[in-house]
Amino acid sequence: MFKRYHSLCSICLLIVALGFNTPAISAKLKKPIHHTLPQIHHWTTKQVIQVYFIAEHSLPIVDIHLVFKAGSAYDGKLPGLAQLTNRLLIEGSKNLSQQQIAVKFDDMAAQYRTSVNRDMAVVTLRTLTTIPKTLVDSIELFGKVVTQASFLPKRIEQQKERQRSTLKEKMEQPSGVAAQAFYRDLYVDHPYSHDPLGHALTIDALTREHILQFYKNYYTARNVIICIVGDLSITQAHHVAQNLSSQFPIGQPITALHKAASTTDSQETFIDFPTNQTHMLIGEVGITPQEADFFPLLISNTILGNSNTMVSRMFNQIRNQQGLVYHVSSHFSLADYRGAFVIALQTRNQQAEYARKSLKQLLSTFVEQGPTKEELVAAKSYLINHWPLNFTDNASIANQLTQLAFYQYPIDFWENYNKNIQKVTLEQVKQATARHIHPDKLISVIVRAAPASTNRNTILNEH
Amino acid sequence: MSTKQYYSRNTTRQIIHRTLIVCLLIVSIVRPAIATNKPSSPTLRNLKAITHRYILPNGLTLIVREDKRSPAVVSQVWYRVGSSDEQPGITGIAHLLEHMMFRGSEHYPGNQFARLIAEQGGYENAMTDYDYTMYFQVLQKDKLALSFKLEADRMAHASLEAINFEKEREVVMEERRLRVDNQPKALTQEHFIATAYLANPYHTPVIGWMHDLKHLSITDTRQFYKRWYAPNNAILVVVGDVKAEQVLALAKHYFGSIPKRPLPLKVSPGELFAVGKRVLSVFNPATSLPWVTIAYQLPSRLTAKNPSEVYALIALNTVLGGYPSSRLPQNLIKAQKIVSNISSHYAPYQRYNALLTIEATPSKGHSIDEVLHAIHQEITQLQTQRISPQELSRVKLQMIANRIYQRTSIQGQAFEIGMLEAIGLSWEESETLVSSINAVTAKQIQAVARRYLDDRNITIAKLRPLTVTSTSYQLKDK
Repeated sequence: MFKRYHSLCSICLLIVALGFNTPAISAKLKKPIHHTLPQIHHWTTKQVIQVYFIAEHSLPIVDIHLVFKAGSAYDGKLPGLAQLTNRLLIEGSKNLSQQQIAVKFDDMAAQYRTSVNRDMAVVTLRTLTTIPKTLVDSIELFGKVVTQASFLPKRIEQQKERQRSTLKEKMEQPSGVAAQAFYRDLYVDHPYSHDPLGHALTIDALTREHILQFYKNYYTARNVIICIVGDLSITQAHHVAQNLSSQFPIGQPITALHKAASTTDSQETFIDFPTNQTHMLIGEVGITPQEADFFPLLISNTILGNSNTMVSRMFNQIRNQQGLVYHVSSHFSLADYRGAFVIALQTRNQQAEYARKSLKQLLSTFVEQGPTKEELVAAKSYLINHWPLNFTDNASIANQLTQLAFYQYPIDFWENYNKNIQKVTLEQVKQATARHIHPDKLISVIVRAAPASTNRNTILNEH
Repeated sequence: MSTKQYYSRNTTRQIIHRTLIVCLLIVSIVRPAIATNKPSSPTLRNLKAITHRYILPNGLTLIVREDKRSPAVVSQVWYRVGSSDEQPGITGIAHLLEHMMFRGSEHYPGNQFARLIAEQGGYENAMTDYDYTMYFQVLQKDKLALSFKLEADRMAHASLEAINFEKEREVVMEERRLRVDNQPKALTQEHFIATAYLANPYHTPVIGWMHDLKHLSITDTRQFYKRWYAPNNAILVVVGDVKAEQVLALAKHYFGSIPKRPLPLKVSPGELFAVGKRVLSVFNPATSLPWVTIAYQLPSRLTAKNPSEVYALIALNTVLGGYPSSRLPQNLIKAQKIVSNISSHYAPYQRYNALLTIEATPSKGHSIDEVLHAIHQEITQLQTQRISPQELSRVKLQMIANRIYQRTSIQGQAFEIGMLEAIGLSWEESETLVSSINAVTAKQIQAVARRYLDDRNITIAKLRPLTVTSTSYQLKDK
């Protein structure tokens, strides 16, 4: 039942729309001086697996994230393979059926999750630390499930069916159609261009051999990072990490992919869809996590289109002043081989062109003139004060840690965050903005009802 | 709002929302038998010791929970008014007012509220539901006064200017298009809920019917505000590393002078029960997958003559779909493979009657009717055979654990407190719920299954693709 309505659009819409799990720099990376941030312990196991651990004793739980460089960018010619492999990890292992695994986890009240985005495949366990036996057993089961997956043909067929179904459901919505087309247009022949779910035909083509090969190549000691947050002592954490590590085959080094090429020309794609609201995604190829302009861009986007506040230029002008949208925002997504700079908005079909012009004008003005001094001060203040709020519960700490570990930020990144924000100048923001946002070279995808549509069913007509 | 982190990419928002409520409530349960094995761990200690409830002379309820773990504090203002208090013709007014509350107040005109919160790094939002409207900010713990100052001003002096009204109404209509009109399931659900709740005020969607939105006026908005936004109709909830006495002093300082006002009387409506099965067929051109949802009308915690039935129904819902190896996902997805997704929901914490809903996507080659048949078999199973002691204890364990997992978030805690108080219960319901659920027996679960999961008490909605001959939708299946 759907009955809850918010005044500010949730960023989740955006995450779904864009297909990168990371809500991007606009949403996630910030810090202050006075507050003690969680202390990160970092070491490597005998198998040379990197381990990141944060002790958090206030509740009797622990979260373990195994993070693999095994996202959909590594699908090769088989879009959907990374997703399917990841989903199958809970579907049976050597000696244990899917049902046995599910019941065992449930009997220990342990929660097991899998997820995939373009860069990473993640497998997580949340379990209670109160009963030593439960703790040990659940982690042992977790290790087995991840490292001894059986990939039985029956389960493969069923997961393929579910993946196709998820994909279909996504394509029932204008946001899903827009996201798929946008990444295709943006990344062209780069491995980021396809949907992590794959396509109906490529999912059909996936075989057990493909899955076994992918599993062998990517679910290895060389290709995993272990992140632990929760109620363990350092000694316990070492033990857990070592135990998990030793179960992985060493594996071969994976081949790094090439970086996506910059967007060189503007391009517009219009897609007809039975909708009374036009969905637009507009943007260009963006930055790597190591981008030198990272902090200036973080500030720039906070002013331009950050979706976590109600004060960005986009929110003020396009929504508050003109009433054209419920949701408008921009962000730079984080991704190994260059993420995307994306603007998203939705507006009723009849005023879509007007909204687009309005947005373009806003963007051009911003890129030409840069922010004002007052905007810079306010944005810095927001980012610095907001930073500790990203560490308020175990799940958000674990997510921050996973980002830091996977994208290989230095271990003191959180501590230095504030300093790095503080020293950015107005000129740096202006220059970085102009370097990375090109109003004349944007990829646009516009999903809307066919002009003079005869297809609009009465269901979609407004009364 | 706090539900954010529970969203996943594979599930629709409405399911997640409902699931959250289910987690918060159903699962906020159970004395931590589990936790006693490790006395050193500060776990689910007695929440009464750290939760303080006050009522100011002007009728404002203040509840403070001192949770030392977090560098942040959450502050929520709840009004005991929602879409179920709207009259025909002005549906959506509660939610539109909530939007207008962000358009400035006497001492903080324009978007100063948002600017001041953002400058302090805060995160804010609001939500409107059937029975309540809630505004919140998350801030560093020493900045609580800012939240109070701003909320008090808009409680008493919201500007509600005509000049912003038309634009904000447009925003809300865009929100409706985004969340309902172009989401086949959400649109189906709207009709489904209206069919399941015929005479109950939940008949109307919170966001309102589009034709009503088009006619709402600033006068309607101001009237609604004047009727319902008073300190004696509000609950202030604060959770974080704060001292209750200091929060009380702050609350008195900022909210204390807002005068109490007479409130409209709420009349409890009835509902039209069981004259037979209600079946709804929806066709949508954007849909390529069939989908089905069913609902049984049930008592809520507040309408139940015998509350123990509600606890049994909570347990029943958990048996059906509360965890990965529960019956519906295990039997219908994994074993029979006739659905690719299925979930069940029961939200007993609302003012009027509640629904137990099950929704499912048939897998390829299986029809909606086959799925309905399989669900019916699961229901019959519950009615004819008591669940085993082993399954019952698994269900209860799930609830204990989720209770602990839920406590990690200050927003989740504040939500639970405020929501219970807003519908007219005490926050302590979440404490007693523990023992109430622990007391549920297999026999009781069977009894409520027999009593309520009756075919004459069912509403069914079937969503199916509308075949479109035009080639313009070619992208759909790629």
